[in-house]
Amino acid sequence: MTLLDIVDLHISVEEREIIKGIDLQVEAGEIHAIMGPNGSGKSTLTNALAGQEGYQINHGSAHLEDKDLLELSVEERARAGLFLAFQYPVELPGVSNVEFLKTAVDSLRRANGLDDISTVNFMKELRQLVKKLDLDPEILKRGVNEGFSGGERKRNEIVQLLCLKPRVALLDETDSGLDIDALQTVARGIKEFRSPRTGIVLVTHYQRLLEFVQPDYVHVMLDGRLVRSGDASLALELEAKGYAWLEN
Amino acid sequence: MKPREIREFPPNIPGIEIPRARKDPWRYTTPEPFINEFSYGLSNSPSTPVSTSLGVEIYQFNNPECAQLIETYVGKVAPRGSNYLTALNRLYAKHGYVIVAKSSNKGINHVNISSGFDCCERYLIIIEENAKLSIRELTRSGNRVIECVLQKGAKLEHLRLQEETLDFEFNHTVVKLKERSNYELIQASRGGRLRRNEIEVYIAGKNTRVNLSGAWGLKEASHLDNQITVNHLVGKSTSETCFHGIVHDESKAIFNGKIYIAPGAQLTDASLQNKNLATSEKAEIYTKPELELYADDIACSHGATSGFLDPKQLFYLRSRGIEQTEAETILLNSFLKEVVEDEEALELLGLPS
Repeated sequence: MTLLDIVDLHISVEEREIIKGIDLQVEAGEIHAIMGPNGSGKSTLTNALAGQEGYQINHGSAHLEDKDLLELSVEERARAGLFLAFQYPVELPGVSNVEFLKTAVDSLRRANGLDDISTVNFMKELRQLVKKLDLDPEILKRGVNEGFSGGERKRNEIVQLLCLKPRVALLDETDSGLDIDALQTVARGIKEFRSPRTGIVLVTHYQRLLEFVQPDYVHVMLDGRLVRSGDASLALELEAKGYAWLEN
Repeated sequence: MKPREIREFPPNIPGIEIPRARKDPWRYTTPEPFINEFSYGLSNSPSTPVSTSLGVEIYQFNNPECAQLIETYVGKVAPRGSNYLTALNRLYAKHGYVIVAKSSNKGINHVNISSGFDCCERYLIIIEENAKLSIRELTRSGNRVIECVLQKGAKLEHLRLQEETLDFEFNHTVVKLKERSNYELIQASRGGRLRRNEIEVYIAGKNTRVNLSGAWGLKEASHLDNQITVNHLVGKSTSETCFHGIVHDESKAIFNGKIYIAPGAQLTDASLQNKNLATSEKAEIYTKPELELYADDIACSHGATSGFLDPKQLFYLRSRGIEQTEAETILLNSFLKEVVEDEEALELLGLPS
């Protein structure tokens, strides 16, 4: 079953075309990695799919199952089952992690006609997730990402991923800035999210994360296009040769 | 009430200039309504202080028992003397209370001051050595001057709750701190037709600590003006001032905050912050942090910001499925809760605690 279906997508930022025609189909159960140098358009693709302002869709379509993502507001996309793990998660001073996540979970549940989650069950699950991601349970009381280190922010994104249980996760350089222990922790979280019902798009610079999370497909993005696709071995080839050999 | 006979209005008070609009410190708030209120007479409905604490004595100004205190302190707590409106208050005040928190009670004393209606009144509050006083002040309208003296080791916790009002309100609060004393203010303000809070703090003893915090949420055409000065007259003391405000609709917020550090007041640690959010393009914010420093071995910081909600924060919340309006509410509430934690203050501001 196709979860995410992107067809000939063209995206501009301030009149400049960044994404120049991308096709990507993510089937349930699959992990796709998108690799590419800085400025190739990887973050533009994920941010535009999540609905961030400032991105002009010029052409093409993007569906999550039968829902036309491009017609939906930011929150409706999340409710349709899309999740973006941010490259640079912002701080929300004074908004506690617990309050934030409970509100988010309840928003998603209500959209699906469910009652609010019981606080006891929610807290129990959340504490387990935080522990799994090697975070101090004290962070739950703190403001979202407030005073968090880079690594803590990235792990907190994975806590949110596992808590909100979307259908499709877009992970935008979740591996960058992590030491090897944190990288393995994050990889464990991603593998836990992986299931026959979910799809994952990993955006990354490096092959490093892919050593721990085996992708089904690797795509190379250069100048707003996916110029080559292959299996996991393509990542190794890129690691050895760089991107230059693909530029022609 | 019999109309007051006024030969000349506004009266000339020797040595004190009559304030003019569009001139500091009345640049963004016009003083005339506050002055004119005196000409047609303020009401006879004062606020009422109530206490059940053993260590609190409350007198009316005309009580001979407190004549000595009035003679010593009233109009004299601020070393720089009065400004025009506080001098008018002195001339016209019909009601005055002296509140004394006695050293004899080791525990915390409580006083509840509940706003009257459009009255000109005065308070003198003395906290004796090592005594502790907690004041909960509910304000709505009128012209009120409060002078507080904190003797050595005294502590004053001051919760000021300012209700939504259609009247004018002028508050002038002077607090003088002696050695090892401690003043904490939490001020929560809803909108008013025209409300001005002048707060002057004089740190006159070492090892003192001052914490001023406040938050406001203004709607419609409300106007709130906060003028705050923290004067470090001697060194080795700490002051922290932090106010956050939100202006909606066509409301207007003015914040003028000043830290003064006197010559020789070394080892002072002072900070002052004011942050503002507007939810409407028609709302107005005027904020000015000021420093006047005459000592060099000090730590001093100040800052002010004004702006709209951060689109990145909004996007983050919405990307997790939270509705736009709910996301906005979460961010606005947390912005005020960053500075005010008191439950009553949160309730007044309409925030869930």
